[in-house]
Amino acid sequence: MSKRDQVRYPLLYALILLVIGSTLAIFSDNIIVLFLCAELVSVAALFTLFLVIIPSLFPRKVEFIDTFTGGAAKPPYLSFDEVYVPKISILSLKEEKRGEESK
Amino acid sequence: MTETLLAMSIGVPLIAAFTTPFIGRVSRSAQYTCAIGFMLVTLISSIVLMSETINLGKISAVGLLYADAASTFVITVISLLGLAAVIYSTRYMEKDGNQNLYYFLSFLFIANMIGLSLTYNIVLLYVFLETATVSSAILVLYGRTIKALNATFVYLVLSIFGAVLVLIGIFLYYSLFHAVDLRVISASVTNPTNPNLVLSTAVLIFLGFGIKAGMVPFGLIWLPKAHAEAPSPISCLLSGVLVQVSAFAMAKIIYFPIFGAFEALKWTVATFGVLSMIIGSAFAFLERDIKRMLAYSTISEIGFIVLMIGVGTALSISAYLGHILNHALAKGLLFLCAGTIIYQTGLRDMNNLGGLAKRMPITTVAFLIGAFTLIGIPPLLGFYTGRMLEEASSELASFLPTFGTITTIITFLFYAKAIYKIFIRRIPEQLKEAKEAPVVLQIPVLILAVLIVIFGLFPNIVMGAVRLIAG
Repeated sequence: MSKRDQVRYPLLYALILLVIGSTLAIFSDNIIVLFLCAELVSVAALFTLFLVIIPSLFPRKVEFIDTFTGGAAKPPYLSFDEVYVPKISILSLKEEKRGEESK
Repeated sequence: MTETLLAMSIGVPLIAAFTTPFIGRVSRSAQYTCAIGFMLVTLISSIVLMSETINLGKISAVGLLYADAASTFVITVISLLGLAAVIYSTRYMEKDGNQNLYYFLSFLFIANMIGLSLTYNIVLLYVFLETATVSSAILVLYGRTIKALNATFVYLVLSIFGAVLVLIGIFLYYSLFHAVDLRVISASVTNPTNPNLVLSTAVLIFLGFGIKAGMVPFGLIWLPKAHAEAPSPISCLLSGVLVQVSAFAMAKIIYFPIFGAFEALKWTVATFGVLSMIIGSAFAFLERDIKRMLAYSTISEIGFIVLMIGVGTALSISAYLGHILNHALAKGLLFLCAGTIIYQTGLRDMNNLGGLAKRMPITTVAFLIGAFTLIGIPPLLGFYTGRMLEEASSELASFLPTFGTITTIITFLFYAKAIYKIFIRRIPEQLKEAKEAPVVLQIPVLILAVLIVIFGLFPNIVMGAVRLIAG
C-alpha cells in the first residue's frame, strides 16, 4: 500500500461510517439503533480530529540540518530581535561582540 | 405528494454526493452540469414543499424527519445558498485536484444541514450536527495552508466539545423523560419533578448548539479562523447557512420543552444575543482581512438571531425567520464577492486593495447591495427585517432596541470602511491590471443580489410568509 493510500483509505472508511450513520439514523425507530448511529458519526468525527491534530501542532517539516541542533527548527540565538532580552548595556555589548566575531 | 417532496429535499443532495464524484471521473463538464442540476431539483422541491406546507397547512413526515412551515422555510434558504455555492464552485475550484471529494463533501454537508432543519429528534439532531461538522471541517482544509490546518483543528476541537455537551444533554433528557423527541418532551415538561435538572440540561444543549452557531464567547475562537480560511463557496455556506441552522436547532430545543416552563431562561439567552451583537461588530471594525471581517460580522448577526430566540414571541419568530433569510442572502453574497476579489487580485488584506469600483463594477454593486441590506438601508430586504427585529426586541424590554441601534451604527462604520478601502480609494499600482471576474463567478452573485432587491421592493413576499409561519 502506497503512503498516499495509507492516508486515503482510513479517511474513506471514516466517511463511509459517517454516511451510514447519518442515513440509517433517519429511518431508525429503535433508540438503540439511533444511539449506534450517533456512535458511528462520533467515531468518524474523532478520527477526522486526529487526522489534523499532528500536522496542526507540528506543521513544519524538520530540516536535515536540524538533526544537528537537537531537532530545534531554528537556532533561537541567531537574532536578538526575536528573543526577549532585558535592554541592559552588557547584553547588547555581548551581541555586538558576537557579531564582530562572526564577521 | 408532500412526503415525496420531503424525501427529495434530503435525498437528492445525498444521491448527488455519491454520483457526482463518479461522473467527475468521466467528464468534468458533465460533473458541473449534474451538480447544478441536482441542486436545482433540491431547490424546486424545497420551494414546492414550503408552499404546500405554508399555504395548505400540510405537515409531512418521513422516518424521523418532519416538515413543518418553519423547517421548510429554512431548507429553502439552504437549497438557494447551496445552488449559489455549487455554481460558484464550478469555476472557483476548477484548478483543485480533489474536486470529486469536494463535491461529495459539499453535497453531504448540504444534505446534513437540510436534515438538521427537518428533525425534532435530539439524537438525530446530534447525528446531523456531527456529520455536518466533519464534512465542513474537511472542506475548510481545502484552503491548503498551515492557517487552514490550524483553523480546522480549532473548529473540530470546539465542535466536538459542543457535541459532547449536546450528548450529555440528550442522556439527561432521556433519563428524565424517557424520550428523545422534542415534541414528546415538551408535552411532559409542563410540570417537571426536577425543574433545576431540566433547566440545566436545556442550558447544556443550548451551549452545545451555541458553539456551532458562533455565539460569543465560543464563536470568537473558531468562527473567524474557519470561515476565513475555507474556500469562498464553503465560507458562503458556513456563514450563510450552518451557523443559522445551528441557531434554528437551538431555537427548537429552547422553544419546545423549555419556554413554557422557565420564563427566566429568556434573559440568559437574550444576554448572549446582545453580547454577540456588540462584540462581533466591534471585532469586525478592527479587522483588516476582508474574509475575517465578514466572519466577525456573522457573529454579530447571529447575536440578533439569538436575541430573537430569547424574546420568544410570535413577532420575534417572524423577525428571526426574516433575518435568517436576509443574513443568508447577504452574507452568502458578500463571501462570494470577497472570493471574486481574492480570485482576481490574489489579495485579501483591505489595506492592500483599492479602486476596484472601476475595474470590477458588477462585484462592487453586488457588495454594496449585500452591505446595505445588513445595515438596513431601504428599499432592501434588511430594512424591513431590521424594523421587525427592533419591534420584536422591544417586547422583552424597552431598552433592547438601543443595543440593536448601536450594533447597526458599528456595522455601518465597518462596511463603510471596507467599501472605501476596497472600491473607492486610489487604486494601487499592482492592481492596475485587475479586471471583472468570469461570468460563471458573477451568476450566483447576481442571483443573490437580485433576490435581495426583489424581496426589498416587494417586502410582502417575505414578510407575509414569515408572519404566516409564526402564526
